[in-house]
Amino acid sequence: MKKFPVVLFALACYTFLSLETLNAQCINGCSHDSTWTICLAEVKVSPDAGSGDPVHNFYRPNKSFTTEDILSRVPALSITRRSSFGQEPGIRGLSGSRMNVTLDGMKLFGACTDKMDPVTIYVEPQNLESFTVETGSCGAEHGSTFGGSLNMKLKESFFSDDNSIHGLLGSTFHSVSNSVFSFAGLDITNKRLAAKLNGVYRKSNNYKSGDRSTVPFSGYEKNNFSASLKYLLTQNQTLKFDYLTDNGFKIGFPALTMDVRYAHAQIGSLTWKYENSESLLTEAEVKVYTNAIKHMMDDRDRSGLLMHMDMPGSSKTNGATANFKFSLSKNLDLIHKVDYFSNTLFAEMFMYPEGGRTMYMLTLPETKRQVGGLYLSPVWRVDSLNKITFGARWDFAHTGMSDQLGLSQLRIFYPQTDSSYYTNVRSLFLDYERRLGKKFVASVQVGWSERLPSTLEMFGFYLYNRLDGYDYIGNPNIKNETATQYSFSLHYEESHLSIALSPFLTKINHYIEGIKDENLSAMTEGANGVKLYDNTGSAVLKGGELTIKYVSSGALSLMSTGKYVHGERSKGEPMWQIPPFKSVTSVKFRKGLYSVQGETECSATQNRVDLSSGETTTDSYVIFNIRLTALWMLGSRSFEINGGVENITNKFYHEHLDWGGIPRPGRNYYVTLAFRF
Amino acid sequence: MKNKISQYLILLLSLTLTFTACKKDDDPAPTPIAADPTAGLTLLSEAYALGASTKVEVWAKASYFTGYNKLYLFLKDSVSGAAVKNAAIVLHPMMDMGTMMHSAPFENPVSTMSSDGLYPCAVVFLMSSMAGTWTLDATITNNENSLAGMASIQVSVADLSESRIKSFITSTSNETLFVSLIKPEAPVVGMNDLEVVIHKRMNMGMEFPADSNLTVEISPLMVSMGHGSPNNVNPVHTGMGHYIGSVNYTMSGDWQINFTFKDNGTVANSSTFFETIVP
Repeated sequence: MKKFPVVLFALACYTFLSLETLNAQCINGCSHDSTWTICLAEVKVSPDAGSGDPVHNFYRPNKSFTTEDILSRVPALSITRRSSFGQEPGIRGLSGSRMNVTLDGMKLFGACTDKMDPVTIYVEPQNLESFTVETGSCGAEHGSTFGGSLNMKLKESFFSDDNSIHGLLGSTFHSVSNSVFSFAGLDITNKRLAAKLNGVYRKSNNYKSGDRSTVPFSGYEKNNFSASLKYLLTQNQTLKFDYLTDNGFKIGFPALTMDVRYAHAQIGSLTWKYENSESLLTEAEVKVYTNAIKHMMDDRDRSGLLMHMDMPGSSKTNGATANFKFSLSKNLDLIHKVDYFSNTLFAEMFMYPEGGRTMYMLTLPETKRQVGGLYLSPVWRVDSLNKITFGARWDFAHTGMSDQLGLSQLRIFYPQTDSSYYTNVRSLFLDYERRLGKKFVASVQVGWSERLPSTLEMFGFYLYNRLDGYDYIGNPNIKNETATQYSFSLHYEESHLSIALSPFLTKINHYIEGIKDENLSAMTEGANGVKLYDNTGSAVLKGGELTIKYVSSGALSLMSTGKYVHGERSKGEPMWQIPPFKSVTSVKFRKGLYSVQGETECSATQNRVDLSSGETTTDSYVIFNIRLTALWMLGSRSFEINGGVENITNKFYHEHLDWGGIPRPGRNYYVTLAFRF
Repeated sequence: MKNKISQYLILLLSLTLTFTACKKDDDPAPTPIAADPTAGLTLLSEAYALGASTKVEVWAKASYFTGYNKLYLFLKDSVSGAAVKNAAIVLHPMMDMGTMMHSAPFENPVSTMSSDGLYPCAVVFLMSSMAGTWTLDATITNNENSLAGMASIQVSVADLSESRIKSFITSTSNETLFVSLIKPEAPVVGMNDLEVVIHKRMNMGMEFPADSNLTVEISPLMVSMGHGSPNNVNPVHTGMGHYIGSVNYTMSGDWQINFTFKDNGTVANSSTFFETIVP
């Protein structure tokens, strides 16, 4: 019975709270004050906020949404889709090594040379507290970047005054793919200890597209298990241990020629945290972590091939971070971070010709990258109207590749290839925020950043890109990419309505891309040729996001987001893989513990494509979803049914960033049963 | 406010954290100087040059095979066993097939002086001993004792699984040429030195002069995948019929090197290739 009034209270005043939480979105980055102002360059989403929160229902309307499903709805984020699971996030048109993806500040790097395992696949919304997206150089807290940062925060556990055990059990069924998603969670807490266990299992068969045909190689299976243990050392110090393991099996990639046989990740960290709002050092966090990823890509399930191939890869990362927040005076805060990580990547390829000898190649010779960084960010609240935030990061990186076979391979192209490279990488940003009257807040951000070339861009060897059909070869002498950024943000807010508009402009110099070399012949069967990575001219990205939220005092709430990016290379040609305008609107009607949510997702036509890379245009589409939720309270326990229809009109469509024009799922009926105790 | 002071210290400390990186020194271990002149070589045959009072030993890296054999003749005084350091050697290989006989291309030692008694030379065995009997005659003029004589060395030649010698008839002048692959001896992934030697068959196979007039072009091919490799260097003539270039292998597996021979710009042959296994 204890929980019942709490839940009711939360439901009753969610109207009030939801806008409040929107304002309290800033943790770090361009704006650091969580109570003083909103953070314009940052969108924070709580995947598991309290029931009835419209934000929750917008980003994670269906409990079985994967991390990438949720990310695809975040303003400024887009998803490159090569499969139904294993999609790559991008911020404002920039992805891969142009952005940071971190888990609780920990660095993780996918092991697949074909980007089949963006690290977001190794976590489940179930074990996350939040995502923080910081755009542009403002993401420098997590590493030098101009693309931005996506930090996934692991679920926090809280101490309780008495010994308590709470849990969650549930399962979802999807008709379009005959898929099952089951989840379970357990919290055991007392005054000094808080333990959390989470388990997730997903099994999806090939799904049916809008024309009722089955999309081959679109199924997958995975499990995820996480455990955390938090111990209260003193009143303001805690020690937390986190462990997470994720295991994917037979993840189909309909847009590629190979599938993932397995993808295993093990992630562990130990965190000491200190908080004291009264002292000079208001917050401190020191973390040591390690993670290992093993990945195997093969084509054993594909037929009609010249020969079969196996492409295993591995990624190991160890690191430590130390964050400090000092309150130097009433108006001046200083955020300081010191971090170090070392990442070892290795990928190889075995080819089995019929009757012939097995062929072997290092697609990425063992490469070890070590990066040490310093981050400083003073936040100055000049007066009640003005706030200035400055951020600077300096990273010193060593990239080593001393594998003899790898060196021999690369010296075919670059006879001077060295086994050791030292690089300085820097990021700077300035954010000025001003309150304009009672309802408007405006801010301007200016940034300049560099980014390290990825080790694939330096040492990759005949890596086939299905999109343009070229084999890519790394360039050890490649320089840092740099970018200058300008963004502006205007936020209007009153009691029921908030509107945020944030246009941006990013100019990238020393733009890294593959350059066709007509003299080279492709390794991959049927490939168009070979491209070598190099710094070319420049590229300009511009666009913006619009977010509208309306929460009536009655039963109705609405949320709508729109995002647009326009990308152009130095010669005026469109950049490839730029998403067209996309908008998602959700209207929710709630009565007591029941709610109905209607959604529409639409995307404009993309005609601005890079024809020289073989990119094709994509048509516009509109799809509709409807969702129903019912909640029953049984004492302190609750039972929830959540069901709906996605893609009601059974639209046959794909998005522009869906490789190979592989159609998205058709009409899907789903139902989730969840039990909380 | 003791606490405050210690916190300022933390602030200072955290701000002054620096990083150091260590660079590893990779000094190669010093290679020991070989005292034994035949180190790394195997004794294949021995014979006496009657009249020259000299024992002739044939040393090589591998046993006799069909193709270009780099041989080292070790001359010793047949009585004292001391190395003979000044001698002229003239080779004369001969194949007896019963119904006919022919010679083979060879390279005599360039110098009559040898600091350790070892005289490098070469013979291109055109076929294995399955076809008949190979004899390698070596006429020795021992300048130390001013005696001369001939050693007749019995040679047993075996075919290799991947042939290192190919022959073709030029479409331009109707001559028979033999191409022998010298390098790479042990191909590796990456860059490899490439060396071939070309000889012309003349006088019913009794003479094989070196050819230096051809233009040679190469293109490696991974047969099972149908792709080549980049940045190869076509072999060019460096002397005595030897052509030197380089060949690149991008991966391990079965490769072949395709050759095109041109005579004054006209293709004389383009169907010759060597198969190599890159481990």
